[in-house]
Amino acid sequence: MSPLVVPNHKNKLKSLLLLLLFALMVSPAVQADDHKKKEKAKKKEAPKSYVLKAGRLYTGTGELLEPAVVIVKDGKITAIGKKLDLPKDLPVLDYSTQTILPGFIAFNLPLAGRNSDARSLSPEYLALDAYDIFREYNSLLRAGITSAGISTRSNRLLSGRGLVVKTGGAKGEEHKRIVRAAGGFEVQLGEPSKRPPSVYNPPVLASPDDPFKVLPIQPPVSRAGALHALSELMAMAKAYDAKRKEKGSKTSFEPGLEALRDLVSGKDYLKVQADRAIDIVALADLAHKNKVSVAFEGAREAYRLRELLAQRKIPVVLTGTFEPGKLSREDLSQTTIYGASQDGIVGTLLKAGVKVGLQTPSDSPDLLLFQALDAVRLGISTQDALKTITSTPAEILGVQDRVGSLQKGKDADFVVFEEDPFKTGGSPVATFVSGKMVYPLLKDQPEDITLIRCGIVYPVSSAPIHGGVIALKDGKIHAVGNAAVLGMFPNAKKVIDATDQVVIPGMIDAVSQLGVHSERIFPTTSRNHPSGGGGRATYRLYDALDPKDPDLQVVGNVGFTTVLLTPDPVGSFSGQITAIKIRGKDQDPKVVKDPVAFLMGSVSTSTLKSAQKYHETWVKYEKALEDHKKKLEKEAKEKKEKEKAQAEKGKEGKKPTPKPAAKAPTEPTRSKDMDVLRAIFTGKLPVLVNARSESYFKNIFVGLTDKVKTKVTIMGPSGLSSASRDELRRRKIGFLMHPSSIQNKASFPQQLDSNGIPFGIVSGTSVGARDLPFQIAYAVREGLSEKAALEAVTLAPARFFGLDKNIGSIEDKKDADLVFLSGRPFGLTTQVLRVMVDGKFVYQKEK
Amino acid sequence: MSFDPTKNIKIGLKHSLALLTLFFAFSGFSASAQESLAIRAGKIITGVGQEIKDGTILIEQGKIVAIGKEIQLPANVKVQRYPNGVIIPGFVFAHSQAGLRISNENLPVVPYISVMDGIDPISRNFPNLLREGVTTVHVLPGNRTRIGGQGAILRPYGKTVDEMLVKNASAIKISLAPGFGQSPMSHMAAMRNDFLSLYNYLKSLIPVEPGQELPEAGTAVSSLTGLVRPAPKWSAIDYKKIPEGKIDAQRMPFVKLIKKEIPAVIYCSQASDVLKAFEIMDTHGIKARIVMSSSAYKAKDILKKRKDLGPIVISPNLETTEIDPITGKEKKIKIGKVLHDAGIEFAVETVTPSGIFNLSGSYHPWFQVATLIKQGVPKDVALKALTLTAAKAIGLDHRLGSLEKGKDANFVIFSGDMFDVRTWVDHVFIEGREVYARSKDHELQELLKDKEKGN
Repeated sequence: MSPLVVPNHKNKLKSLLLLLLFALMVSPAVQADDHKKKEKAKKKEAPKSYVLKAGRLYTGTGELLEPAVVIVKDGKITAIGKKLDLPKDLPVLDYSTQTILPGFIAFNLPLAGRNSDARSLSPEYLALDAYDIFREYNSLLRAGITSAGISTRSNRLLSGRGLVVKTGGAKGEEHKRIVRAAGGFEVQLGEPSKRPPSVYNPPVLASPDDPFKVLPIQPPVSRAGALHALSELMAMAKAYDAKRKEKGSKTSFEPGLEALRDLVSGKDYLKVQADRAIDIVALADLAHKNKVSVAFEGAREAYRLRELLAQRKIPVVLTGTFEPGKLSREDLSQTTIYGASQDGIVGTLLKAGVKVGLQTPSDSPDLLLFQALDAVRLGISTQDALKTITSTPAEILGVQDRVGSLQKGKDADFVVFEEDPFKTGGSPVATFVSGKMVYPLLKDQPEDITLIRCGIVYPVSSAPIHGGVIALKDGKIHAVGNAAVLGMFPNAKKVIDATDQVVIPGMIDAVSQLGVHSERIFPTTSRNHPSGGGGRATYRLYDALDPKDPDLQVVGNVGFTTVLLTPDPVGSFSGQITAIKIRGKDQDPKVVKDPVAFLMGSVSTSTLKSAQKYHETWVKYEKALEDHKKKLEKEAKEKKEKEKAQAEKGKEGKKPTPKPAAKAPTEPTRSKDMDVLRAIFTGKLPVLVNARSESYFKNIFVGLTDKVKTKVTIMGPSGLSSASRDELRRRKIGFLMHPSSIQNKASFPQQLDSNGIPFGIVSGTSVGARDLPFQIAYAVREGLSEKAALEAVTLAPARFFGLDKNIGSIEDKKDADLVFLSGRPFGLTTQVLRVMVDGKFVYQKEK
Repeated sequence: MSFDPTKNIKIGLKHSLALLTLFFAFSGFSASAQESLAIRAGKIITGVGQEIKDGTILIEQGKIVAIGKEIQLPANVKVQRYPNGVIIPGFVFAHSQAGLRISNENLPVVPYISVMDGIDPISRNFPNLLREGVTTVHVLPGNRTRIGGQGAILRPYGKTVDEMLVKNASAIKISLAPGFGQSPMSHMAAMRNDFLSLYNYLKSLIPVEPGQELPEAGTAVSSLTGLVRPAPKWSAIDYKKIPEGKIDAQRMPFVKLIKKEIPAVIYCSQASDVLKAFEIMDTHGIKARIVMSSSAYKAKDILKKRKDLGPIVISPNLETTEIDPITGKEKKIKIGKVLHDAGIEFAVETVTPSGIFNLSGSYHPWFQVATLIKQGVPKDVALKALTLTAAKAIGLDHRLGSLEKGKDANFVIFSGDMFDVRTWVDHVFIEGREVYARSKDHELQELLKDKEKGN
């Protein structure tokens, strides 16, 4: 360093000191802040310990608990039983209407790639080295498979050691997915492993002592060769083991034989792929002679050796035969010749006392449960079938102390089914690994979630969900689905039990005159009416609403949460429609949208024309005004520039004579009524048009729908010709009907439904909506589908009036307006038990 | 800017010091850069979070002796002014195959070869690197050799490899990507065997009395995976007892790796390779740096927990796509952002070009820095990924990677803001010496001749 440069040490020191001081002052605060953050993060995480309740629970060891309680602590089961003393501080995961099974165990999945190495015998190879422990195996988790044996899969005689892993979970600590890092020497007998290529393995550092040489052709070519190679290997391993055990052993470390020491000492086993009986018996004998354990995989002809296998306690993992789209290739005639009964191979082996596991054909690893169900179909018991895909493979893989059954001390790996899969089939709704839900994956974990467990949910936008669950947050629907939603929000603030109830969206009466008694007394047609009278575009029925009118509760309590206050269809422009929400007797109704639509009593071509002309004049004016403004701006700019140029030039020259300012366009005469109507030409406001009979349709189509951009809905007559129906469908025009349409012809709504014309059913009166559900129930009894009936008072009107973003169905992000029923919607004796608006109960039926 | 030379009585001493160093000059490169020099620029980005407006760097004998806005300069110092120039530390490539025509040997275990013998000093790679502002490049064998050769740290400037050399035998490359015709299983089994046979070889070199034989290799349990793996008992080898010159020259570098005299650079081709890299480090007690492919980011949480790794070097591909398990849609993974958020220190590689000019963006160091910033990595962290953190990854952060007092005067002068498309690398200095000037870049001028005419 040059001594010539004198840095300013003093200043540096000062600043350092200051910094230090500052750091000292700040650090406790920072720490406290960090601590808070950490605590917050902790809270947001799913609880590691909880009480799990199940309606039915199969332990996987032959027991069925009904109901069952499980205490899960840090991913392990600490207690399980029908009834337990429950610790009060733990949250409850309530699956008391569902069935729980242990996570399934796939015995052998070829997920470690293919070992393409040429060696016939490579006991030191590990499937672990080729398996990507970080990959997400969602299709397996979705199928309820929580653990899997992973093989070295190769067409070689002895290709290495397998591995047992969890198929998901342990995010951020993926190495914990390993259940057994090395286990099961993979042996392949039969044709595939015969005639392996010869190996060219040059010495890496060739020298005269270690020259390049070509290795001889490898065994085996025949079964005898294979068996000889294996027994020789076994003998070598035994000798090696004995030598290594000696004190001060001089035997140098040989990785392959070192690995096989586990086998000859009984810690590991041979996992043999063999189909033919002759291969099975030969290897069973070899294992017996060398006192090593063995399990057979595939083993199509194992049933022929069932006495031997039972006697020697050799387990067998059969490959199920079910594959979608493929018929069985098994020669069933053979099974009868050799004494197999109608029970199928699984049943035959089980009866003989052989331990049997099941696996799937490798093309469809997610169909494990199907193989077990297939076995049940062929006659074995449910409990035995479940064992073949849970506890038995776990036992063979040597991981029964952790997985394969739901018992005290084991991992909380389980699968939730809506109903007992052995009775009704079906797919898992949720899968848990080590106590944490891994399928379906969590989107986020917001706080303040309220869960509603329902008997049936009718979302309307999709098919009914039996045992559905609705998650609410801030008065909105956060999620809706099957029981999986329960596991998604284990931190839910509140759980509302409605498991004996049917939940539908809050209903909509799209044409109503609720709560406007005074309006009925002074007919709106009267010009003396305080509002200035009906029959004009500015007229609004909402202005006459009495928020305390008891009628509101009468209609609200039958499940109508939104009503559209619609004027009488007087004149051709009858007035504006307002959508309001009824929110119980303690709260005044709230405006959802005002105006939500415009009512036309009839379509008069001339009035429409004048409205259109008015609109066009104004569009023209507005454009002209815009142009005018631009022009002025431009002129101002030019003027400035000119002045600037002038200033630069000096004061020479004449001042330019100012141009006369452009004239502003004159404003057309304004009309309040017409102003309102402009919204229908810009597409901003939907139109509801009254048509007493079909004869008005032509006028509507030609005069209205062809002219305006807006959505048109027809409130129509109680019967339509097929030509009109076609026209409605083609033009995608919605249709509203009064219950009188049902009275006249109960088949009318059905007719519309089957023609694909969306329709709504409306009351059109004040408290008339009270009876509307029962009127619809009558139509349903007469044959209208439940789906169409429900849509007619929910999603269909919501769509007609552009309200379907917030109401009309039970979907994510919509308002939590729900009706709780005692039975099916439009059941003749169905009662409304509770009504919820914006996440709050506004009505509860007195018991 | 006027400069008033300070009268200093110690001028004579300064000169004699300079003369002295001339005698002790050891490297042909640094000997020529003994004069003191001051560089003034519109902006100096020090690479450690500071930006100095109108700053000055004072260089003596190739080192930075002072840097700042107002620094005292010796009387007769030559001052070069770049009023519009922006100075940043010279880029450091922590893992590169520059100058190697074939970067992999066809034998799987070749610790004895060195990139020094494979580098073509007149390869176009080097002038191209200078043109990009790279001042240090760590050249290593490719990713397809199990135990590859030794790397070297070079300046991309010099007529011979020796002239370019900063540090020889900088690391031994170990790759966890299986070679042709091999599966990860056989690759890893062979890898374990390589270490075992070295142990057996060393054991055989030590003469012992009968009955006093050294222990055979045993097994150890991996703490993360629970795997029982072969483990040589390296502590039993007393290197002093091995007769001088007895170790085979071909095995010597491998032995040095075990003796921790050379670190390893372990390439991980996928996330689970990280666990294998840990296994190798734990079993044999070697020092190692991790270089990883773009799919290895998934091991971030496990990487973060390990404290002895130093910065991770990530492959040129800073983005990868995969299927989102929740939505089922393809999603983009911003690797830089993911690693930064996980709290992992990382350096970034660039693509080694094959032709004269490479059109791919990730060939340019500034593009890599810009990509990181675009992903949401803080500016200084992004720049460090190709300067100070990269220097740390090659163990030379005490000398390189930032513009601080006492460090090598390696820097780049941009004609303007680094990320402006109209900006060029104007000058590159290595150890205080100008090694590149755009005005003298004939190749570039030739290429741009037509463009500047407007054709």
